[in-house]
Amino acid sequence: MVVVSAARERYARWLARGAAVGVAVMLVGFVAYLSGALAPSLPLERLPALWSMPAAEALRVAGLRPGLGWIAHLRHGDTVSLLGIALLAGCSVPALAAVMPIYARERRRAFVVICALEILVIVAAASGMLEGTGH
Amino acid sequence: MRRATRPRWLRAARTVLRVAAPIAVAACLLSGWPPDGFAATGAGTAPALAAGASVPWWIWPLALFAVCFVLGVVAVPAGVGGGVLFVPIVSGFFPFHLDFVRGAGLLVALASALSAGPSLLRSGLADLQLGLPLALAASMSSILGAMLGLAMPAQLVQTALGVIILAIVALMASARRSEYPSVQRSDALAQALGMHGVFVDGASGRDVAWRVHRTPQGLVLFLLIGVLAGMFGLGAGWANVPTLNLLMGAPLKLSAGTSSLVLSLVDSSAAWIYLNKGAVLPIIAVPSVIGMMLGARIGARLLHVLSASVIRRMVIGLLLFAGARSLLKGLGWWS
Repeated sequence: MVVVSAARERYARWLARGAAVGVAVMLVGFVAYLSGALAPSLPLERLPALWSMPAAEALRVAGLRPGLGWIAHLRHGDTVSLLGIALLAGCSVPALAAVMPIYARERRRAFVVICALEILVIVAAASGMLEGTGH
Repeated sequence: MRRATRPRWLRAARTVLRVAAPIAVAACLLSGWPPDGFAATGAGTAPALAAGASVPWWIWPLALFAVCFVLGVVAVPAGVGGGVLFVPIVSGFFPFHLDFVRGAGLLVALASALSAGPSLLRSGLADLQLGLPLALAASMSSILGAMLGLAMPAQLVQTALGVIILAIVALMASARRSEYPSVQRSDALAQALGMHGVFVDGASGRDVAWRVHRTPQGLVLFLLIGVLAGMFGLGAGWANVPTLNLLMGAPLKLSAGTSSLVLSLVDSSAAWIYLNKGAVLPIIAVPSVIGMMLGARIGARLLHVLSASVIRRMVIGLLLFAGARSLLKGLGWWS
């Protein structure tokens, strides 16, 4: 019989919760965006002109800045969708943090370090520091 | 008299051509190829903009949802991730810039990996001890890949994407798979990290003990896989599974499950780079993710009804066509 390790079970539980929250926020935001319940930060009619440009040029034309500046505009439907996407891209961090105490208790120091480094990599990517877009 | 056996690659190439030719002809007829001014323009945005401007804007997200739904249906029985189908097909036939397509491609692959990850972990088909060290290597390099990909000219990325997709087609058509590879002895790193375990094979109902070898070589390959995943937004199950299975000697089912865990971490890191660079538009990303997730649910149900080998051949044909389209678009021969 295969025994599911405590770390694996806890990681799975946190990952499932995080992904569910991310998808829910993304969907709610998108429905609010399309229905007009929350005004978009970019009018829908402008999108065809923007989506065929390189991302950097589209940002410039739209008058937006790269990085995490969009968080300040959560009153807009498209930005709430973006928050859901960001939650999906970040939901591994709490799962990794949740298993670190288990590995520490089991004296598996290598995995405590690996989890910490993985969290560091994701947080560094999210912060915008790596490509100079941090705020 | 014994019939002469054709080489494996020749049989694979014949299979690919047999499936791809009708698809290619049909798609050319539908798209009105060759266009006027064939070979006159590059992978620039003007033709795509014109195509986008000739129809109401909402047609594109709707069409994207429909296409992703179909891709989700075929991806599961074909045993490939959604990202590898999504990027070449959407970048080839939709008016979106490659930056946004790659950003959405990463999210499609990420959402698929996240939805499958928890159940794979609980069933023992994904292993943290095996996946986390490899994911760390690939996550770091995926950031580099994403930054390189967004800095490179779109035409160059489109050409390279075509080459990569055609290489994936060759890999899919010819790669061997080993259900339970024989690993005589784990290497020192695998032993130190505890890369061994037992899982229950659902088909046979028996416990399968596993261990891996060649871990340092695997880590190097995962560094390279991370760069490709970040640069092209492809996800990387097509490379993860052969590396885990054929190089490191992990059983096939464990390789596929652990690949999903690795993808969930690698694509997270790269997705943040795309988010921060403004290369994620909800109007493109959300219909893609939802369409692919719904399609994958249907695909999982059809898994027992459809012939997996037929679907797999169809997907190989589709990828061959999309890869050729991407390469020709990048070279400016089919804009």
